[in-house]
Amino acid sequence: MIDSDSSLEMFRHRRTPAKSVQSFFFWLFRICTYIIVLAASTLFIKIAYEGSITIFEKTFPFVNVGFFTQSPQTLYVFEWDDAMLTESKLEAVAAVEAEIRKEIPEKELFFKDAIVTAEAQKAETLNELALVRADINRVKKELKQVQRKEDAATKVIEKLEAKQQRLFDRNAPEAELHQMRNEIIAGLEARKAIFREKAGIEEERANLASMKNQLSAQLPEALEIESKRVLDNLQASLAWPEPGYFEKQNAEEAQIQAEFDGKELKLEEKYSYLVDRATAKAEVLFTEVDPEDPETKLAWLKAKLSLKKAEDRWAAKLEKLETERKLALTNARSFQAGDTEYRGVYARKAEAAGVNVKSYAYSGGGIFPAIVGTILLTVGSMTIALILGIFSAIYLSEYAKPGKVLNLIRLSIVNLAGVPSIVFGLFGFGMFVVFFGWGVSLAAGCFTLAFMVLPVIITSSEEAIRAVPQGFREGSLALGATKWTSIRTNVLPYALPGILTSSVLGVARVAGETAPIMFTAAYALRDNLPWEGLDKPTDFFVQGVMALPYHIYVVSSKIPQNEYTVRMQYGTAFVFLLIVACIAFTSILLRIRMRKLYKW
Amino acid sequence: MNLKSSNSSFSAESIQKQGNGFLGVEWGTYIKAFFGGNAFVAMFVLALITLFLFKEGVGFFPQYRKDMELYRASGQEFVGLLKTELDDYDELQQQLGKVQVSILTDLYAEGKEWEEVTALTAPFQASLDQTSSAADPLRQVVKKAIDITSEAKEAVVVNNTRREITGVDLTTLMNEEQSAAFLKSSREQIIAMMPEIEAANDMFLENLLAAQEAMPELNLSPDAKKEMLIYEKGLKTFLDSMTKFDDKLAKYDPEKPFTFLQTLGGFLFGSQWTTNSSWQDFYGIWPLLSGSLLVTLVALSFAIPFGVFAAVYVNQVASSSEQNIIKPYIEFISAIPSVVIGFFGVAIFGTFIRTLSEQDFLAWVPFFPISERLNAYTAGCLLALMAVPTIFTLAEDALNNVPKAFTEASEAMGATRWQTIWRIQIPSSLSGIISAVLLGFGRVIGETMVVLLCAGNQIAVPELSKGLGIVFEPVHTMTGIIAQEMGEVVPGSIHYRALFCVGIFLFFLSLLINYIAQAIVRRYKISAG
Amino acid sequence: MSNESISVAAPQSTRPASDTSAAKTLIEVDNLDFYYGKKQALCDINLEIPEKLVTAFIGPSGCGKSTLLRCFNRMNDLVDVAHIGSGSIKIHGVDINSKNVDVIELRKRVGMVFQKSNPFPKSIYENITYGLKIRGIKKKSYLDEVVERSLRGAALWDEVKDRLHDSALGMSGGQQQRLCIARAIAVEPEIILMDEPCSALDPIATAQIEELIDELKTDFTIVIVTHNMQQATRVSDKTAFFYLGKLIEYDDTARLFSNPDNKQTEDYITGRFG
Repeated sequence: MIDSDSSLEMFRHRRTPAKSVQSFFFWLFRICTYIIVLAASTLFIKIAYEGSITIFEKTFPFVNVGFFTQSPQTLYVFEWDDAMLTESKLEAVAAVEAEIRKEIPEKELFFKDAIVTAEAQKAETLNELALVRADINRVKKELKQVQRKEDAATKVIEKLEAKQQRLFDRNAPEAELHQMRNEIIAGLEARKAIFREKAGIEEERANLASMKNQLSAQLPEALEIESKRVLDNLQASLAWPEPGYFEKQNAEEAQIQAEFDGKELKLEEKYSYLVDRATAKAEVLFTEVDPEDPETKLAWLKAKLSLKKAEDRWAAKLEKLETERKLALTNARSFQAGDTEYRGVYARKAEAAGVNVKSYAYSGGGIFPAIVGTILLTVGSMTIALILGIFSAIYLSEYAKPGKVLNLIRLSIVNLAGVPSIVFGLFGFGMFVVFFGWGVSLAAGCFTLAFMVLPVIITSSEEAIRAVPQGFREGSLALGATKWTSIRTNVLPYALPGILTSSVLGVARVAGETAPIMFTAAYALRDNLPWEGLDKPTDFFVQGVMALPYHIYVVSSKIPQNEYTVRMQYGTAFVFLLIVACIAFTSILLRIRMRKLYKW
Repeated sequence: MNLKSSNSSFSAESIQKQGNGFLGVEWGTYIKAFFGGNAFVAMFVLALITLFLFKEGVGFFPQYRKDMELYRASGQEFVGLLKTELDDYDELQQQLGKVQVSILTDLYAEGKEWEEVTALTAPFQASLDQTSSAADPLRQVVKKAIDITSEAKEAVVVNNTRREITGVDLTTLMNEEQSAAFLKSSREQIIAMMPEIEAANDMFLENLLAAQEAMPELNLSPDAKKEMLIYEKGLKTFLDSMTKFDDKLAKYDPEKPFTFLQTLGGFLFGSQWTTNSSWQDFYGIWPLLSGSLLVTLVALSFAIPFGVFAAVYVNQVASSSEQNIIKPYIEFISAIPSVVIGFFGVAIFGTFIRTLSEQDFLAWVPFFPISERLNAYTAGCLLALMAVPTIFTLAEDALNNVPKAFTEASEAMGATRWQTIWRIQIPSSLSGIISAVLLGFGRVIGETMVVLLCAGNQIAVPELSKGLGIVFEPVHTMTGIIAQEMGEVVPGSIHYRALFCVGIFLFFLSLLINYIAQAIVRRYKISAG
Repeated sequence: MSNESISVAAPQSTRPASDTSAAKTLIEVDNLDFYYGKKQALCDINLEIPEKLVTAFIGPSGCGKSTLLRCFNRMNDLVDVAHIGSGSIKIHGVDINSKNVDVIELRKRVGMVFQKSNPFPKSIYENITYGLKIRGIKKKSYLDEVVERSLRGAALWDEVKDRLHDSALGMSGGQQQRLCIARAIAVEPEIILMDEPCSALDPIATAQIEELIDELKTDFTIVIVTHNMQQATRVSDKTAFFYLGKLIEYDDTARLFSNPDNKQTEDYITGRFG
């Protein structure tokens, strides 16, 4: 019989070296994991915190609406000191205001007249406009023809030169060479004539374009818009500065001063008490210091140390308070305005008042065009990539004959998925922007991005399609379905979740990439929204757009930094991060859901 | 039981092909052709990428070769050697200037007045002046040579450009032979200057040695002494190189043709990437490649241990609730756009690192405090954050694919979890982990925005002599240079083509990495049977 | 030869023996050679399969029995390298490999049940109506009728009539296989090919399927591939024994198992190899 105690003894917990090693490594790994999580969280939290200062507000509607609906603007900050705002300056402001009041009815009348005249002449203007447009088209065609002629002439010259070279090479007689040279000169002369012709046509085109602009501005609709803008601006500029504006600001400043004085006083109360107490204690201890006893000396030193600490803390707090005070005062004394606001509303009076105007590029307004641009780029490129990608995947997995060629194609696609995005950008620039001559445009950006994600989409779609059990296809075929019917009813529906997940991930990647669009599609700043100022619908695709990632790049490294730009940067980064995170999160959720739904 | 509603008979007609199709071809064929067409377009485009990169890129080499030939034929290359010598000397002078600064700082720190300090350092100042004027004779000669060669080259370049544009009377322009002769005359002028140059060089050496002897004995503080030591070391290498220089000058043959191999070598190993220079543009990829590699090294030295350890932890140790949170979270990191990470580096992390390096308790680290907030280390750390999800996900997959039977067998024999992980799991998933690391490498070296924003963008080969401090040097990278310069180049110019060549290099590098990663996985796949 | 193997070979079924000699020939295989790439999988097969009887193909793994089965509805078209070398397969005298035979029409008339049950991940109802729907039949009442008839035919109606709209994947293995049979008979084929339909099932489910096969043969011609010799004796009227791509022996089941002509057949059915 085995003694039960001793058998328990056998299985008792023991500390062995192996177990210590295990716990050491497990802790190491745990720490590493949490450091990663912590690092990422720091990034998220920092950007979210700073960004929410920009995009949220304390008052209704709690969101900085302008940030989402305006274009980026230069920020104008007014600063003044009281000495500058003398009586005479304020009088000058008043004079300007009187001028504006007088101007308003004049302008109203002017525009009314102009509109009436334009209305009467509308048909005529339109006619003229149509003629000019036709002219422009004609000129464009001519230009193309001339270009062709030029190319032909160049080719002829090249041929002649090559011939001359050959003659040289076989030491042809001088006479022949001479004749050759004359021929070349004649060719060059002919081309010079073409050049001149081309220059003439180009000039004509420029003239026509300016004529077109002039004519379009004479249409009553354009005049109405213009009149509304001018009058609104004039009306608005009456409102600033409202009576007592500067006094109010000054009062606010005084209030701030008082507030901070109070804070300083409170600090003094608190710390002077602490310091006094510590001083007293140190003094008492100093009298008690016994040279024989190191302990008393130690106590005294400790007391001195705590005294110094208290003093230091006080100084630090005071310093911080001073910085805060300075900031608050500048805020109270300055006044911010966006680009259009400044030009329309404040410019004339601010000038008259002689307040200091400092301008900061990109620091005002919002990021609406960038959001729009990113959406356009994403939608456009995903449409192209999904159509090409999914159909290709269907072909490769269902129709293509397996063999070496197919394997090679698969291998290249998989490898292309790892090619750096900047290389795709380079390709897009060389191909669409330069070779096709689309210029920096939406279309070039969409195609570049589409080809960047294409390998990813093809690979993952193919994987999803091939993950559908073979039995589904066979079962369907054996029931007499055609191949396409089997694919449509029994393969694609079950591959769809996988395709969807991968394409959502593709969306996140496309929306987040900067490098491919830097020189194919993105503008640092553009006044018009993509649908504004188009001559014809196709122009929509050949215009550059703003994009969120490029905007972040521009505001964080291409312009001088200041406290206003920083707000813009964090705001943009936060919004961008939020958008991309939402897409990625959708993809993760989708994957989890789909996994639960479809299991076989 | 009758399972048939009608008596559908099986006959030859019933299984005959019906006329369902179009123009005598079945619908299925059209459908297949439609998908095939799509696939063809996709494949075509993807093949086009390679073709296009080449189309734009290969033109670089003949053009660069022509450029370098001109550089050599005009005698600029020869003068360039002298110029390098003088540049080196200027650098040495700057080091001496540093010594002076540190002497002055010490004196002022002792509380001495300006007059007193001037008087004290007068002998040193004199020898400083003497040293800097030592090179004057050589400088004058070189300046003359530079003028001659630059003028000659300029004339030929202008001539060639005009000839290309044409539209101008051809007879006033030089043809190939004429310009070659013109260059030759410039070259001969330089060679004629040879005795003058040699004399100047000798005088330079003499002056330098004289100035060195005239250097007064100095009572230096430790800091100044350190600088002085560096100066003396530099001087020694400079003197050594001067003798070698003479050899080089003597051996130089301007008539030697510039071969294609040299062009290729000049691109791959050239240590200069200089563009828009008034002297000569060089397109050597080495400073960019070394910068990329340095950043990647920093990134991977963080990302590999963190990524792999986290994968092991999540896969083997973590509780299932921890797994369900951490795994998607780390995968989620990979969705952060690179520009946001780069922005984080510019706005916060760079400054944080520099402030940290200025702290007293880190003063013992040899290369602290660092001077630049944007450097290889900053970029590397942030890239590590981007590479971690890649490595983590793939390594975790690899661990997941280890057959359960292996672990069960190990644990059934009384091995601890750690022993099982270390001896069974990690070895059997090693191929997956290695390929994960390789793909992480590919991701890091191809990343653009983070390095563009955070690596400092200084085009220089990092100096190995700085030891580990090298990682705090600002560098420029291959991806960064494309992003920075592509927007400003003229399409078709040599600069444009040079950037495409960098692109091609990157393209093949990433293909290679990917291919190796896949080959490893395929080769060492464990069959889960 | 041991007593045990004799008892195994003896027919156990109590059903009345079908009259095999009177049946009309339905499928006719003439001198068929079949290749996977360069490898010959079937070699000179000659076979006549009678109408409305159950014919079993037996033989060791890789002997070509499944390949031949898949030839009957040209499922081998899906395998790229597979092709017929020479010879022909005629159903009702029509060469099914000839150019103007529509393979889709052929498969509508020659149904198939696979080794691994493969119900679509749809509801039971949708599974059964799938074959009709792809033919454009949408009338609800007709579909309902077909579903009931097929499920009754597959002896599944009572088990699933309350959950017709549940996912087919929730059924047991045997039920899934019977659903596949129901799915096949719903389109009213003439011939049903069964490729080892019971290999993944437990004995009870197997017995149910065998019973079903017995019932189905009144309406359909059934060709079944099986690994299991007892099963062949239980369900089939005629049996063909294949070995290494050759048809070794083809005869009435009772005869083949009790008194084989060929030595190889005898060795196989007595368990000497295979």
